[in-house]
Amino acid sequence: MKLFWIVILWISETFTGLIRNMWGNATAVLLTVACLTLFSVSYVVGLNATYFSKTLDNKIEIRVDIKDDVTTYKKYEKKILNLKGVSDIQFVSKETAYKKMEKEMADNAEVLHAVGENPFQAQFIVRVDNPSQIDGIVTQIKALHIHEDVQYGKEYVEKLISFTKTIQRIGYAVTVLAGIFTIYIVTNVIKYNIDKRQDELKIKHLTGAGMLTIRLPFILEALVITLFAGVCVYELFVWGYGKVEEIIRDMITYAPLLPKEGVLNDLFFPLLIISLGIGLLGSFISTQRFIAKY
Amino acid sequence: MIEFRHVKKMYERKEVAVDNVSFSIHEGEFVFLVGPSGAGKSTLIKMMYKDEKPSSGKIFMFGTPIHRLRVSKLRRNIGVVLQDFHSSLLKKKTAYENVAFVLKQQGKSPSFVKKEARKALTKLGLADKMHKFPHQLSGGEQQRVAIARAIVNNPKIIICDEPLGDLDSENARNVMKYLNVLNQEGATIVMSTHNEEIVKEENKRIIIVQDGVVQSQEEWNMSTISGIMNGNVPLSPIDDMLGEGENS
Repeated sequence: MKLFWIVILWISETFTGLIRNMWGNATAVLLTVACLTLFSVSYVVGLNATYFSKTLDNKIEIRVDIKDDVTTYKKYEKKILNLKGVSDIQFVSKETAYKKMEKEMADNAEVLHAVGENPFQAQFIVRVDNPSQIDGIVTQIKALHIHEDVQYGKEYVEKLISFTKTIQRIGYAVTVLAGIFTIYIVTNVIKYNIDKRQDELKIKHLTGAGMLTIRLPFILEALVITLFAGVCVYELFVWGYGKVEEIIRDMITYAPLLPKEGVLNDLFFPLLIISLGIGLLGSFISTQRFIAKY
Repeated sequence: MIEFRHVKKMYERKEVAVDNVSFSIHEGEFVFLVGPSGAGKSTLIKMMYKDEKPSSGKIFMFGTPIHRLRVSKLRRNIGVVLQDFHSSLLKKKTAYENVAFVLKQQGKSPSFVKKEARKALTKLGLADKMHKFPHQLSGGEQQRVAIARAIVNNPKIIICDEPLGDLDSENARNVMKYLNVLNQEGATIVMSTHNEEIVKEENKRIIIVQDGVVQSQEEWNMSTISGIMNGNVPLSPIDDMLGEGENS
């Protein structure tokens, strides 16, 4: 029963403190929202970058344009398929390549007809298990000397992934800086709240209130501030992610973006932990430094 | 109840506030701690409620070495009244709320808080002033609210550091009247004071502190005590006696 009344006291003191310094607390909420938004954007960019690279990994293929004098396709098809790391191979004859292009060009097929002779090479489309092995496989295919040309999008993909990861890293660095700044703000807001209640604290000390009873309302205040900020940011993503997704899809139809539900699920716990972490750390520093100990 | 054994307190820069002090205060006693300003009275009082730690020596409270007692536990079992009642009362809370505040911090139920806070205020003659704010009360009444707050836990020891300091003689006597009642009800009271009149009138045990040292009460007469309290300090009882002899 005693614990019940103590908890009621903590809650009432927490909300009294929040109301007493309403503007200071509102500022802290806004700054925490800014910090958590930066973190969440970086995190979601990271999630999408990973998803994007996985999607591309599955789509990476090597296109081998076969020399016209090579006729023993089956033999080479088998050889390539037996190479370590090759998951699949598909032979596309000159005719199939021509028909495919004709179909893709549809109304503009006349341009192709104007070329006259079939300009396409027979091709092997080779798929690999792991994009990191692609260099080795390409070297081995080239060693067969059946190729007119070998093309694969590895460099492009790598550049894209590296670019996305750089953005993600910059995002995390900014988040860390913003996090430190937010902890500083929370620390100062709680310091201000402590200063405002010095009279009460003096009496609490004098009459033997426990240190936990003295400190907890301030810790709870900070947690309410940062958790509220966390909820705001989450709601911002609930509302905004779908809209951003829509805009990107308008620009790039097949953009590999994670669905909203998945992003929100993945974001929930990291956001919760960061919110709690900032609140706990900020209030811990304040209560340690600015509340006198027994 | 309270025992000091060869207690020494040194502050930073090696300033000695209390030097080799020993005394005992027994259950149910009412003891005045007197001496000039800076003699070490407040340091002794602060050590009793663990606001200061002794540099050496031992202090026993309720028969237990004070260093073994948790501060919060100790302070819940003693009542502390300070001189500055203006800042020790919460200005935005009524007399009742000021007293109830202590019990609420200890997780007591609302019905218990209500009953005990009313009881403490009634005991201090403030039954009709419960819902007044500190600025609506006289200095003496405010100090009585502070005493009510100190006794709301029913402590066996009440420690008062210059509680009459900011009061006129009428209010001081009024406060003393209530402290005497509490003493008669069994509370042990230790009170540091500068109020010479009250010390003379009350005729209680006196512990004299001078330059951080406790002097033996038996060797002093009342006029010498007055001299000490006014800061007109003889070096020792022997010097005092010699001085008297020369004059006569």
